[in-house]
Amino acid sequence: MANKLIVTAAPHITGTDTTQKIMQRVCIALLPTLAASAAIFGLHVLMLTAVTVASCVLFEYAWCRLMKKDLCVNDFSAVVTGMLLAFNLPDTLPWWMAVVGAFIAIIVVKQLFGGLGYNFANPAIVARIALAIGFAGRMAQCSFPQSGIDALASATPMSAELTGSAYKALLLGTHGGVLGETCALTIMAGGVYLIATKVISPVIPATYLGTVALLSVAAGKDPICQLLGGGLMLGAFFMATDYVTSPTTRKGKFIFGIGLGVITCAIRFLGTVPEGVSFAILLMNLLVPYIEEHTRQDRLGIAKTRKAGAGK
Amino acid sequence: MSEKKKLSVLTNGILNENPVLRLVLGTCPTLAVTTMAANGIGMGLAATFVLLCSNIVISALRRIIPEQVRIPCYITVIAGFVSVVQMLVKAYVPALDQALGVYLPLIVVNCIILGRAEMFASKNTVLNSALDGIGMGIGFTLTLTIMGSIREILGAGTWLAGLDGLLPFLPEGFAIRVLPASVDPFTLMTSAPGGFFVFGVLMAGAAWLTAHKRPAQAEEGSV
Amino acid sequence: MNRWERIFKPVTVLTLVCIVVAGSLAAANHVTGPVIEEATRVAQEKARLELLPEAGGFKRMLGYGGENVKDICVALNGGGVVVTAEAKGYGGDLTVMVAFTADDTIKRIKVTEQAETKGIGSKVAADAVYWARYEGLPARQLVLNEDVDAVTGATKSSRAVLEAVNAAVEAYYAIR
Repeated sequence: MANKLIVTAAPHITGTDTTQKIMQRVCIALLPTLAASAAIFGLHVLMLTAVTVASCVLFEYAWCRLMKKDLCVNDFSAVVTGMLLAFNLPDTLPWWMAVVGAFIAIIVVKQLFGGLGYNFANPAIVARIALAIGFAGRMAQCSFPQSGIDALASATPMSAELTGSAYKALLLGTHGGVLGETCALTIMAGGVYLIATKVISPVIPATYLGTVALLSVAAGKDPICQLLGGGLMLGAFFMATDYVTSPTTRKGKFIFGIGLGVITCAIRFLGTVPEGVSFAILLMNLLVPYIEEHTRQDRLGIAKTRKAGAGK
Repeated sequence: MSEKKKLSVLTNGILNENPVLRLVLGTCPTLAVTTMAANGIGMGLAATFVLLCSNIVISALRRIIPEQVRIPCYITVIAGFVSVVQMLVKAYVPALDQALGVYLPLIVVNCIILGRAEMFASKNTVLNSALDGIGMGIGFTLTLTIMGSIREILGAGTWLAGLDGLLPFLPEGFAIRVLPASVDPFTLMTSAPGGFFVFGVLMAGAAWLTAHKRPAQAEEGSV
Repeated sequence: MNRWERIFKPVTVLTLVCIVVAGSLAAANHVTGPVIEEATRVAQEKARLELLPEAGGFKRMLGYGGENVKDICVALNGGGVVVTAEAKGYGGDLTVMVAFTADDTIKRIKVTEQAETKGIGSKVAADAVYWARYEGLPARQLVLNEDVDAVTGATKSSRAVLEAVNAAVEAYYAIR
């Protein structure tokens, strides 16, 4: 009953998009990857995802009740966070650890800082990093699907050498890794769907992937393997493009994408951990306020005044 | 009336003006030492001893020490007591010295001690200063113990591991296992991010507790 | 404020405070000094015996000028040697005690001091399971990932332990 009287300023023509619709579209875009993941690792994947999503939603609901806020679960944002978090977990993870991750994502990163729109970094990414550090052993235990190719049987692609015939495996995801990062094909399909429905702008994924490709070639590594392996695709299309934690202007998005690419490659090639995407996203999220400040859009009419003033 | 005031000086440091959670003093050793509850207890007791002694001495000398040199004098006295405590610990409780490491000599610059010397001991009688020292020390030790317990239970699955260093009658390698061995502990809790998080939660808790008590106290004061 | 209060009194009081404090410290040191020394000696002896239990006691070997070697103790019954060596790890100096048996083999090693990252470097420096990899190796200059594997992500710590052991090996042969 709260919003019967709506008082807003101009403009009064608005689009039909609501937070709920946008979040639902993201969920739809993630479903193919979920299906592929279930096909690769087994049906227990669905249970793990369900547990993660359910705990995210429950934590958000509980928080809103505790803080006596209006129901904030309707906007599906907890569902998206839950699915993205689940996609960052290995399929052998005990369920209670996923619940801990959900707590960190929803309560600590999102609600303690003010709820949707106020989180300082992508909740799923921070939760993944926290779990990777806190439950290091379990998080590193990805199982390897039955139909794995020998070249990839020993470790995840990021820590192994690959030949050309393995590209198909990378694309289809028949190798070890966390739930959502293996099947590049479905992730790209989901990403294209989001771009086509104008949910995300293509600038960040394009710049991110482009920078990684360029730097891989410069460093002498196989760019296709770098692009398709690890959590890069998932991160580029679904996590880096989160509205709250990425810049608003196109120039800002450009800088954001380049920064992400540079940090990811630095960690992958120069660092000791095999995967750099989650840390890159977190670091760039922290820099977003500064990027925003420097790429602020000029108010309309300012440039003309300056030119006129200079002319005189 | 004066007994009540003496008692309030003592209990002040436990919650209302808890040095770590309310006055936000001495946070560095708090975060560093509370990876295990036993370390927290040891550090708390050592710091309490130093705080008590320095408060007494500084209060006794408060009319003699001129204002211009008061800080050097306080630091010298505090450093003296800390060095004595360090020597005693190294000689008789070496396991605690190992556990606290560099944070034992760092008690010299523990803001609680210099802070209370400046805020309280230099302006109050010896008895009150002693009570304040004890109260602040109890508050400090309690906070360290609680924080250390939370971080140890969640981050390592044990409680009071290493207490045999403080209490030699305990068997070597003493530890109470809280989480069953099959449950992985959340090791983030024993490192820096977990420490800050627990610290924040405890500060919020202390703020909430004192906010609820204040209306009741206001009524008492007006009588 | 007259000159007494402005200059002389502060200086006098501060000097007196310093003298009194220094005096108490000297007294405390006098009492606890011997206790501390004895305790450290006992702890080191205990560590050596833990590594080479067959040795009845040890005799310290002086005069070895090798850097990074802190201490060489020869077993009184000729059962072996325990060398304490250092190396620079990721977070600071690492101190390793290496026990050699008379047949030129490394019996055991033990890291006694380390400051490596908890959870990463500590898997090398604080984990007895990793130290066991050195047991039974021949006493010669060892090579990382050939004789002993490094732990993934803790290369610097693994290398530091190896360097310390190699320094100990060098000392072992030098004193023969």
